[in-house]
Amino acid sequence: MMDNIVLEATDRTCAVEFDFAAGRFRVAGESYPEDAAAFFGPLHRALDHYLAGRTATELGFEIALVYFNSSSAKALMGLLERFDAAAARGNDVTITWVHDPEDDAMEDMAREFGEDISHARYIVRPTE
Amino acid sequence: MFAGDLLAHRRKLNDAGIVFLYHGYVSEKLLAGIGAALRLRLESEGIKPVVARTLFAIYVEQLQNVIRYSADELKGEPPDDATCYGEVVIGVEGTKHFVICGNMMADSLVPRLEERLSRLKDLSKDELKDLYKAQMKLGPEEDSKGAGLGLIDIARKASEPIEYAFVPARNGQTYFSIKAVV
Repeated sequence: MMDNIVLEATDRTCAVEFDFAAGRFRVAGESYPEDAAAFFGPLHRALDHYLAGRTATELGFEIALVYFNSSSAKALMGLLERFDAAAARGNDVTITWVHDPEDDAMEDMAREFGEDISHARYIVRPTE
Repeated sequence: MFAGDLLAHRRKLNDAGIVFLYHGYVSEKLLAGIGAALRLRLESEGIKPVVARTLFAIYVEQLQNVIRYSADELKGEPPDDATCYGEVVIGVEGTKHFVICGNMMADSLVPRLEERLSRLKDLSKDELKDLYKAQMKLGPEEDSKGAGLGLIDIARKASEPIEYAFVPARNGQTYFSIKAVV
């Protein structure tokens, strides 16, 4: 089993919790790293490794970002696409995007990202 | 005399609604530091957190453009911490805030940027959204260091059409400035 990835939030990077054993994944906070590829690249690779050949697994990915910059957007889409592809291969995937209820722009963004998700369950909801 | 000069500047800036001005070399490290000061300032003004976040987001995109594309780069820095000369101005105009950034760029790069901006300027929010999504799938342009999404993102987040100007300067360079209002 792969080691979990737990990254504390920093000024510029979001908190990351990838619990491989439980199939629970989460990013939260703010994301505007100096180098988005350097921050998200290892996460993409770990996910690729974990999802390769996996079927019939219940997987949950939660996005609770309050802010992300444009260079994080593409990397974020890369995470979503990986989960959607896993759903297409027969995994039971739920993606939940949790947004600040006051932040209409973030809610719109969450829905836009969801337009390209066709296999995973995709939920957009305000934080409680 | 220096204090008098500076005070005169200060009064001029205050009268123009400018609450924040930076002139000098910027880097990713400075971006974070100035950003933190900017957030404190916006918080102390009591503006809505969502508006403050939008302004901050525009500030980040604009400043990253300065860092990536300014022709005036300080040599001798490690390549992962580019240090470029530019200006950042944040101010209040009536009930709205604005973010302006400026930097020198090579004349040769002007036509393409001008073409991109003139296209963005007249797009509706829906058209900007479609362009954002298309660009996200396309990936960065060859000579782009970001995802090519920054300017689209600024135009989307601004509450009025973005304004920009190219002012021919010396030595094959042009001063580029962009303004976004929230």
